[in-house]
Amino acid sequence: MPAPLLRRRWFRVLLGVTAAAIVLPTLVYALGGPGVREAIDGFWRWFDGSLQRLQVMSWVVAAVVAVVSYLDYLSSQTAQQLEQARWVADKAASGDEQQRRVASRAISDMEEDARARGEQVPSFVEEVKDSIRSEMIDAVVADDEAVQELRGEGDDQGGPEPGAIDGAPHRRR
Amino acid sequence: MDHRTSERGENESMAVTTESIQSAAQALNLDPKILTVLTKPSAARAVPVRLHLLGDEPIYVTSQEQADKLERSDRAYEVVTSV
Repeated sequence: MPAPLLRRRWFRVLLGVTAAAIVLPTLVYALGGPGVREAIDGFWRWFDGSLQRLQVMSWVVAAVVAVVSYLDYLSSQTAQQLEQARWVADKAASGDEQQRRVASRAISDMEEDARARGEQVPSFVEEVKDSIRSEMIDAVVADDEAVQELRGEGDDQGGPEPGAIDGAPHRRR
Repeated sequence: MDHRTSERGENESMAVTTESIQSAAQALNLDPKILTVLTKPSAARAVPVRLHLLGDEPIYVTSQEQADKLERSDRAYEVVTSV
């Protein structure tokens, strides 16, 4: 048969510590001078303030955690979309007709999904255009003769078109 | 084929090229002069590449790598604009 609780050593120690924690400060408060009372009152005021601050802090922490989680979700979603876009672009650029049909279907599905979710439809066209422009401009820039010809034409017609070669507006890299 | 027929043929071919250049330049938002320059080969640009975007007329670029990239992008362009 188990020993009664009061006979257990750990329980008696716990009881003693609790009583001491209550009785001793009470005695100190009752018997102490005004300085001691003021100090104890000050301690409890600080303790209450801390609890209130902790409550406010808990809201702040919860809000921060929520924002960080949302940003993380957005970032992972963006990464996933980028990966998907890369996959589609790769298939679309393939020389294999079958792969290109797969890409075409994938683009249609992605656009449909985006519309259904009320999100912005991914623009593959601009990406591809940008790549073509970039390669074409690179080919011209690498050829001094072509650059001279363009500059000459530009001079004849009252200056080159803004961004024709140098600092082309849509140039990537 | 007499001289006049040949000349007309050349002019028609040039007209198609110019039309392709204009439409491609518009589609790409690129200065048509850049495309016109690319239609003529030079010492630095000797690698021909035929793009569907330019009505399969050849343009000349600096390297095979560049030609391959353009071909890939051209194929992708066809796909993304057909959706």
